Amino acid sequence: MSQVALPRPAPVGDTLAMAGRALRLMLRDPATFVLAVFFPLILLLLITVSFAKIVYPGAGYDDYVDVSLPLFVLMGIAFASPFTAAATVTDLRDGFDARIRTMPVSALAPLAGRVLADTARSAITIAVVVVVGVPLGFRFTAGPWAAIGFLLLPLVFGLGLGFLGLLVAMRARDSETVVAVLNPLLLVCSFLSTGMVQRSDLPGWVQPIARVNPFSVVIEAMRALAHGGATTRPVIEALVWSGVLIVGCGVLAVRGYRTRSDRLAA
Amino acid sequence: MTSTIPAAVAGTLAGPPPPGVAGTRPRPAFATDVAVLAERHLRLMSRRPASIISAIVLPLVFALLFFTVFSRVMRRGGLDYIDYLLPAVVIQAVFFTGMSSAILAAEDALGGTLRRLRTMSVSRPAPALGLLAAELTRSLLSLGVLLAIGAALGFRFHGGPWKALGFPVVMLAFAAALVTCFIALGLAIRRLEAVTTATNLIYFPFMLLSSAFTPAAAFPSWLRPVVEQQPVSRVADALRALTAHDAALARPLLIAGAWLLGLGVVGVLGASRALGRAAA
Repeated sequence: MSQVALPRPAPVGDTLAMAGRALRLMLRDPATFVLAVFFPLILLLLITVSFAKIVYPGAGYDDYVDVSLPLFVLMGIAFASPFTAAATVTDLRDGFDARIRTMPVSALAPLAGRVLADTARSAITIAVVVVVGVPLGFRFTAGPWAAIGFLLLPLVFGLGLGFLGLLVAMRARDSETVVAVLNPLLLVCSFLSTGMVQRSDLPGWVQPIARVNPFSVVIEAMRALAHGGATTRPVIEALVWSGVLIVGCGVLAVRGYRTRSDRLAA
Repeated sequence: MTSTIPAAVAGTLAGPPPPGVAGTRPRPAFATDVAVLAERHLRLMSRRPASIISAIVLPLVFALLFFTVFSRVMRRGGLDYIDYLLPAVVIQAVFFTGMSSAILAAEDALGGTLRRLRTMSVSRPAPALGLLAAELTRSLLSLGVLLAIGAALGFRFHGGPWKALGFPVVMLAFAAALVTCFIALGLAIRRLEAVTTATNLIYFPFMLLSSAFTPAAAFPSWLRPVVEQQPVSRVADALRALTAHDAALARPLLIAGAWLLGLGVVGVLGASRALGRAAA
């Protein structure tokens, strides 16, 4: 008598399958792509023409692009994450996850798959912003390896932001609430950073916040990778922040997902 | 819930008319219908976290962030930023109100509310006017919040009480013109994501390529004429003239008024056309 072998979840394969699904959904509804590309470009162009002369009175518009481009790359990636988080809540409501939970699928896969698919979108954001930014004044002066690091670092940080969004999604009532909670949070992180003005130009009480703000940390690391200077310490700090977000928010989000999708499946 | 049903409609729900009045049909009561539908929208907004956040939290967050991040560099350029910034964040809040109105209008068209109201004896323009009234109420709430935080950060009306009273009037006029245009947009497009994209594509260039957040002198010289002339800058000029101590008043008010009148006419024509189609 042969026993029926229960299929076992395969976290990696399941995650890839889910990432494939999320990517296909993205391709069929290109609105989020449009947003992920145009939003950072609009910010780069419009903030530069309006604020460059105010922030650096003696310098040119190209100098401001050179300094501020990392922030707009990050904002492009960051402000796309609420859409993913909102789509995840919609999946939960529509019963997609209830269905998945009846099958031997790793509980990590639906979330990690989403975040992984976001990485593809983030890569497009980075590529487009850099391609537009270089003729406007952005410069890589620290060599090809550092430049590759510049392009990869925001992808890693983006994974962390993706899981942060999903963590909020697991606690939110509906997809609108997710967006409504995440946007102000991401705005505060974007503004209270060293991305738009020098740290010494921020009010005294904000300077320590801007120092530890993960956005500043990643921006400083990206600047070092593009323009030279000491890279080791800023890059390690940026990777530590990314790791903390990925692991911390990842674990909490998956735990929240288990409870919530099980309750829905029951 | 009964109060969300227009009074004229409640009559039709009460069953067949009594024998004596057979044949009389309920007549639309314009003012009541607008008030009831405005109340419906205000109630919907108050139950929606996204509405509350975009009416209260986002304007507040933007005011605080712009003030915090750019005060020092602006002071270096000789500008007291809170006095300059307040009209900008008020205009921005009106844009958020406009975006909300476009979405709510599209939802009413999509969900069949407009078609349903059309089958009842509800005044024709009441659904759009009710939404407009609700959004104007909402924009007053945003204004109150912004004036409170502004006062805390040092904003003052330097021109005395009469000019100060003109400030909310100009804001409401701008809100009325913009919301009417955005309602037309929402009713015409009727797809929620496309509505969001369209309103953002209007909001970002008009808001950021204006003298709202930074003086026109900061822009590249070839862009300056556009920045100075466009309606958002003109409304900002009018609002600033009303907060300043001794600025010329007539010219900025007239220019802003002309823009708002134009926008309003476009909005009313567009909205009435789109309303007819959306309810058909």
